[in-house]
Amino acid sequence: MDVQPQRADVLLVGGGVASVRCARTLRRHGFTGSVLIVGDEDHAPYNRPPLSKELLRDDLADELVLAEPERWYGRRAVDLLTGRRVTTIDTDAREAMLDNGGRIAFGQCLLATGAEARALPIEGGAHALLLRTLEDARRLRAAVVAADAGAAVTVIGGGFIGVEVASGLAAVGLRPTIVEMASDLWGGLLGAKLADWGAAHLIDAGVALCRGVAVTRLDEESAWIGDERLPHAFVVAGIGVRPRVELAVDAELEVGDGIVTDADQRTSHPAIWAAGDVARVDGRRVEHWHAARDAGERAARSMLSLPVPPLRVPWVFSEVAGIALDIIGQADTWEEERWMRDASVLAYLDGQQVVQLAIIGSVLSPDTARDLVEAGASVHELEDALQS
Amino acid sequence: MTALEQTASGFVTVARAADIEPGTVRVIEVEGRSLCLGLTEDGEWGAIDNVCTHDGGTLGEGELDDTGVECPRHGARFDLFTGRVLALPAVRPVNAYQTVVEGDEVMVRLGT
Ligand SMILES: Cc1cc2nc3c(=O)[nH]c(=O)nc-3n(C[C@H](O)[C@H](O)[C@H](O)COP(=O)(O)OP(=O)(O)OC[C@H]3O[C@@H](n4cnc5c(N)ncnc54)[C@H](O)[C@@H]3O)c2cc1C
Ligand code: FES
Repeated sequence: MDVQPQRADVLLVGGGVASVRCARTLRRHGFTGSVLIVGDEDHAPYNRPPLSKELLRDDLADELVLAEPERWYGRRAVDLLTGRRVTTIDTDAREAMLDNGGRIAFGQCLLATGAEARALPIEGGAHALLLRTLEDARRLRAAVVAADAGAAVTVIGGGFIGVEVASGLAAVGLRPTIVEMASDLWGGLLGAKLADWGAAHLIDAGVALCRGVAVTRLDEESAWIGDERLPHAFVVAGIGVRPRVELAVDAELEVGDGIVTDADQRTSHPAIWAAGDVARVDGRRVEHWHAARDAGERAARSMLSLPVPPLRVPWVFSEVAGIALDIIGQADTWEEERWMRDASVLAYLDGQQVVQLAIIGSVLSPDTARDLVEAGASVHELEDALQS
Repeated sequence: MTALEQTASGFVTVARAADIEPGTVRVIEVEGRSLCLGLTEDGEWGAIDNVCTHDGGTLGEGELDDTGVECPRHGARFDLFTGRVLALPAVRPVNAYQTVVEGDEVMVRLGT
């Protein structure tokens, strides 16, 4: 028998911050149609940044990471279906299929399926803990609690996640070693000066660094770099993410490194938008918290045919050995890296123009920094801003 | 804004009721202190310290939803009436100040 599908005026696929911000923005602008978020995790949408920071260092309640408190959904009449995966989207019928056989007809749909942590593609790679979900964070915290004081831990990958995890492990009295394949931290993408600064602070905090080498194999108790054995209590890998584009591929939307959208978050299908880690917006995929939230808001405005503000330059916040680090901009190239304001601001310069900024210890507001980078400010204008 | 007036009970006038939209917060500087003053959609006034205990974010430039004030930097949430932490990354609460409205004047009790 053919059961009538459930209906949502706006269907948000994926229970992350991009979806929940989209829902919030729809309601803020007075949208009164039905809004349904479907997420395959067993939790309401939550913020991932604390997973590699506060939740690693302390035992904290799940509710403290929720993107919106539980009662928000009722107050805003946003329906939430957790523990359910959307398996296919029929773009002609405008229907989504669920993993329990259910169907949801929609008017407009947002794909905000995020990204998943890459597994370690080496022998014994399954021994490594990954860190993407709240469950991952709980497993990591359990390993931290179970380890003896001063125990060695291998952290594979010296990107944002690896650096944050190693910082946290050192802070709770363990002895982490970061193994990073590139010759510099953050895969070398943030340049040598910032990487050297980060390395010095990590080493000071008790983190050992092995750069320019790769872990080739894991066994129960150790990581191997060729013939060299690194014994450890446990091992964590943070080697990047893969955008979850499957639904979009099946639906024959345009997909590159992420679901392709224009600057207004519209995919190649008129009833479907994409936002967050999964989306390649106007030629660039950004995997950061502010970008995902902004994208959800932008998608909502676009769905409502409201003007969508111009895309802002990316802003990622992170931590290195307890010190705040903000990166503003995502330049592919620059000519010079110059320390300013007593080495608390690193300017990435193309000629005299500031194309990216690294801010250490929150000495400059990210909003000001964004304005400067977006305006194509000169190094002199930056100097003035740093003096005021 | 009206001139500062300290009443016997320790309340100071900090804003006019018409200065703030329901469902928003704003920054108020008073007696050398920086406060985040908010009016909920349900019409209740509250005030907490303006500076986020996580890393100094400006709470009065954040968003108010229900009774939660969200820090614009990393999204910590604090309760507008108690200062309690509702969401990470903040772990320490902020001070909350008793707030009343008399006529058109919003008054906050700064006492310690
Ligand atoms: C440990 C960690 C620390 C981080 N720290 C920072 C930081 O300090 N600063 C920063 O800027 N960024 C940080 N990030 C990145 C930030 O969290 C992400 O950019 C953000 O979570 C992206 O949000 P999203 O909504 O696009 O996707 P996600 O958060 O990935 O959410 C997507 C959700 O959709 C679900 N889903 C996927 N497919 C389906 C389907 N078919 N049906 C139903 N549900 C589905 C997924 O399971 C997931 O729950 C961190 C990320 C991690 C993992
Ligand atoms: S400064 Fe407020 S959440 Fe970080």
